Amino acid sequence: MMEFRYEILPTDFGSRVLLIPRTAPLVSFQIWVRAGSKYERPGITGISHMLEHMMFKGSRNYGPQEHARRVQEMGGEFNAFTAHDKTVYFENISPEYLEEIVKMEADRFLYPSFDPREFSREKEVVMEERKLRTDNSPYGKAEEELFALAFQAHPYHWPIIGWASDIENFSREALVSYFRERYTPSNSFFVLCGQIPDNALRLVEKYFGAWKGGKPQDPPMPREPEQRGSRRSEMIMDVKLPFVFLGFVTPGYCHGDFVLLSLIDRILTEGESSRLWQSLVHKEALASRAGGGIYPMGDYSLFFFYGVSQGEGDVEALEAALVKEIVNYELEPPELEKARNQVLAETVSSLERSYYTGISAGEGLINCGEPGTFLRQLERIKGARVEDVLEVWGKYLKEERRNTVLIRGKG
Amino acid sequence: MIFNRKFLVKGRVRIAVHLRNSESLSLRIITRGGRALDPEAREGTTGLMASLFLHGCRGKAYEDVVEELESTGTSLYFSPSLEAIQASFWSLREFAHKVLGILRDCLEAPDFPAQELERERGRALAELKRVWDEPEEAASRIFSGKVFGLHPYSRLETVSSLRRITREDLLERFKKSFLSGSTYMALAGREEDVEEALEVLLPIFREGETPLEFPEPSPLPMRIYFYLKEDAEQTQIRMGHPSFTRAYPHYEEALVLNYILGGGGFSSRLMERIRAREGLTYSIRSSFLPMLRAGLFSISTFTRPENTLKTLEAVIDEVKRTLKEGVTGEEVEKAKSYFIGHFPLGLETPSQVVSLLSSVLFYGLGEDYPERFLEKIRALGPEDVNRMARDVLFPEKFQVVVVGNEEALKEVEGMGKVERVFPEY
Repeated sequence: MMEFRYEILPTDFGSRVLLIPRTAPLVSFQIWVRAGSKYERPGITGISHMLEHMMFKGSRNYGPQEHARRVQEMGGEFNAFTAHDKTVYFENISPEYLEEIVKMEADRFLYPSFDPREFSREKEVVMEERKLRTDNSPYGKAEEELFALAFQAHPYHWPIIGWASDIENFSREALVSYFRERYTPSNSFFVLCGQIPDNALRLVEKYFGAWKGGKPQDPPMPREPEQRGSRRSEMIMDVKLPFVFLGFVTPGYCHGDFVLLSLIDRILTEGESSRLWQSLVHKEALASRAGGGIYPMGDYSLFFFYGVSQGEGDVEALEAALVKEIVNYELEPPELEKARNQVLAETVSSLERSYYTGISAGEGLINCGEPGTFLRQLERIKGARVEDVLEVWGKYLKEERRNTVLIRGKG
Repeated sequence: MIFNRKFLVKGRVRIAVHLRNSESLSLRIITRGGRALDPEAREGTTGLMASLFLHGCRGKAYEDVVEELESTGTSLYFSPSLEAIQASFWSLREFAHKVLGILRDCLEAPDFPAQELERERGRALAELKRVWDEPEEAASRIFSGKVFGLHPYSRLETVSSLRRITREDLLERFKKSFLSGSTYMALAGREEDVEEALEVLLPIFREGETPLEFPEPSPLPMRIYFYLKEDAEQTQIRMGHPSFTRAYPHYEEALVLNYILGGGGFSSRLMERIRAREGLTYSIRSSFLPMLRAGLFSISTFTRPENTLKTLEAVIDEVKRTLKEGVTGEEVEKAKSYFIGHFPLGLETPSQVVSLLSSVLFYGLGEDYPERFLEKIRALGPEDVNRMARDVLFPEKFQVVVVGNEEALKEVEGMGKVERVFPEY
């Protein structure tokens, strides 16, 4: 039913290229680097994200933003994103431009400028980004608080964008040193998805051939201690509608339970027929919005839920109703079937785009060493029984594992 | 032809079909007459109607409708804009038959149950409050309500207008929606699925046309609006004015102009100056939004409170400079290269093709529009762009909206008279 063929080829400079050929009018070229916020430490939180910004600020043969401008002249799409476990750079372009893209990417990966003036200026930009997404947004603030509450030992504790004081204080030298350590061939891989020319591997080797660097010494990753009681944080903010976020630490993307949790996610939060929407928004009219999802990460995931109250009143009642639904461990086969169909539809839909196919495969490769992980997960979902799902539900979504962030208005 | 498509007229409904061997069916129905048709003092009627289509139809309760629909993994959206209502879905082939049946029932025989109206009204009232909690959303809402002045396109739902709306208003509004002479359908998928969709859906569109008669709004003298958000750590800025409609013969020139000014990301003058050179923001963009009876030009950005005035002045200065000095041949060539190169990339998925075809139908752009668009872009020179720039950009007539803290207010007062805005609840 789904077109997904791939090949992983080693490069002569110590990296790997994942090729996913498809009939498409474009090729998505992606570079995945194991350089996310979990590899940082207090004092340099946010440096992975800052580095991602600086990669657009010029290299030996290209001036600041010239990379971006050149891709746009090709009609291409480009961007990069930093996550907890990785940073990904991508361009979606017409295949005729692939060689030029590989050449430009190699220039910034091998010879980035990291100009000191650009570094200072970009810090200001990143601070504005932080304000936009977090400091000036009650929901962004609550999300940051939820991660900090749920992860007490593991580096998922701090935000990807970093604490404001760290962004202000970390030095250019720290950034260069972090780059040298983590942006190496063996710590990265390439994904090409779409219309791939026969010489794709040769192109990558031609331009990245001089890329050097060994495997970085990863910092020890603390294991998150078993949570033995619920935790809570309350904040007063300038909001008219109080709201509540709940979070539960759950296993990472490759763990066998992850896919079963993704079914529970659909049952509780997906669409207007979901339990949270039907109960909190529709029947009880306690919430104007209710939902949730899973932040999929490598070492752990965070299963979160939210409810925005419908009035200025009793947010505790909303919280209680939310919890009641989450710990309602009942499931009938039709509800499981619905969740299965939702995952299937989502997978097929994402496979219609080369970019998303590349991203799904990259997630599998970086987290589990296997690009076809998302299809294996789909198979597991197809075979999941009601009792399998209920077992996982009761194991992870329970009161003593709950983390609560509650935001009240000032009035 | 860049991609396969055929156009049909069935009854009076105009249809565009793109066939491909996909495992899905993508469909969009777009009908003329959106929020602009809300009765006076009952703003929000179209929005409530659209949100209630799934809340019971042909006697089936809301819970059953959404359960049946979402069991197929399909999301069916009813989205109202100023001039249209859209119904769209993407579905796996195996479930297309079921989804089409639900869509048919909800568009042909919506029940609009009184109890469901009360529930959705409660939610809409809450949403109206929530908007003011997020500075970004507050700024956008104020801008939408001010940019067209007293023109009907400025009317927004309020607490009192939402409270007035009755079930009869919804039924009356529904009578003027999805009429065959004002409805368009774009579909992408396998031939047998497309045929079934047409067979199921075409009979539901009642005879008639939805008139959308409004005078074209004109730019107004500059006004500055401010909403105080005491604990805001960042200032949100919107500015713009009414602009050309989609029938404007120099639409492509305007696209190129906007790309150079603020639509082209890191290639744009605003991004280069405001973000890259002066480090005042993380993002800034401009856009033209041409519609059937009106159009809109807008710029959107944000900055630190202490840089509010500097940012406002720099943005307006950059627009003025573009008008005064014009764009260069090199900039135009780069913009053209972007549009020509990007076009095929936007046709990868069935949903993307459906989106393009529904615009072609709705705005009457002509069956060969995709090819003509590329030809027109290819033929443009800087003189074409500079010639029309003065007809579409009026920085002295910007309606400026700022949301920020006390410090930002003091900064804005440096620009001239400021009108304070207060939430409507």
